[in-house]
Amino acid sequence: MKCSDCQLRIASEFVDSAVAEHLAGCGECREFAEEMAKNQEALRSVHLDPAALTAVRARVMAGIRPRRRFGWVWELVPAAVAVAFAAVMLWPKAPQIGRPDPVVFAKHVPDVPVPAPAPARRIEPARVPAPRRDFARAAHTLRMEIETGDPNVKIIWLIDEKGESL
Amino acid sequence: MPGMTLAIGSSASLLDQARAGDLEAFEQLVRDHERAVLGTALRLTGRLEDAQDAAQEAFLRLYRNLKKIQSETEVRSWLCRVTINVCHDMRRRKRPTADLADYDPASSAPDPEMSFLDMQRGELVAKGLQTLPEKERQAVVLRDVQGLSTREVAEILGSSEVTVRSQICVARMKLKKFTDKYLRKKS
Repeated sequence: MKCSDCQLRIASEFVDSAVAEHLAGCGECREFAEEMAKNQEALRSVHLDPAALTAVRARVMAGIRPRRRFGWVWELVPAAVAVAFAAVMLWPKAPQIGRPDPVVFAKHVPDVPVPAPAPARRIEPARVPAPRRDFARAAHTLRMEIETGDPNVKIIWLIDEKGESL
Repeated sequence: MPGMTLAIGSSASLLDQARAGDLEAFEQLVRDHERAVLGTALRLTGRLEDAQDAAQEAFLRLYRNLKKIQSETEVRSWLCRVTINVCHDMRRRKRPTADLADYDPASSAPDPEMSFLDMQRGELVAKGLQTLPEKERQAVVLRDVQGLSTREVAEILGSSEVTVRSQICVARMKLKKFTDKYLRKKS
């Protein structure tokens, strides 16, 4: 076996009987093997200051702890938002001081006559047609417009002669 | 080759506890692996400050991925892989350091602080590591520093065992040549 082959096998950790036989008779390759072993030992022996290890650990834990300490808060955020939204929507609206209530008034539409008072005599039910909730009977309806504080919002209430809403 | 052994002990239960949110358990997990991770990072980067940054990042990634890791054995290989990746990214971002392979003590000015002639073998090997191509450095560090088997190294690096064996062999030969170059001048 050539020395180059022997050294290649040593570097590859492929030490068989042929290598051992060559090493027994070759001082140069024995020295090579010893040097190689010393280098590997030097590689393994990493001298680490305990303070360096502690510093790394402290930095790692510092990077984690804040997140964990308040993690439950973030988990509750969606629920808190939902509760707040529901509270705002369901909270009874109190009158606001300094702001007038929406102006509410009713006025008669000019072309809609006020229904005549019911006749004193009783009307036979058979002669009264079934009430139809359509706008064809608009002539006998009361139209009420309710204006709110918002000029773009107006509530229109239509009532028939029986006082029912259309 | 025993290499740098990792304290496995009760880490299986530690992993479960850490996954459940127990910070003390996670801290113990860090203690168990910090020497191996920092040592590997130091050999790969060549600077303690960089190694500490890399180790910190590796452990933070471990914390973020605890639920994906099934066993202590996986923690070890996972940390190895992440440390390799973090150090790779770190070196890529940084400016390349001086190529020590081209350094010739005979031609340089006599600077006692920088002279390799006064270096111990450990420091010399550490310097020599930085002259290796990255894949060779990663392979020889995982094999000789971490003490992993060739198969484990191949799995971590995503290479074949044959390729890794070749990389380790070439890296050792280069390191031997590097140390011989300066130690013989000393003698």
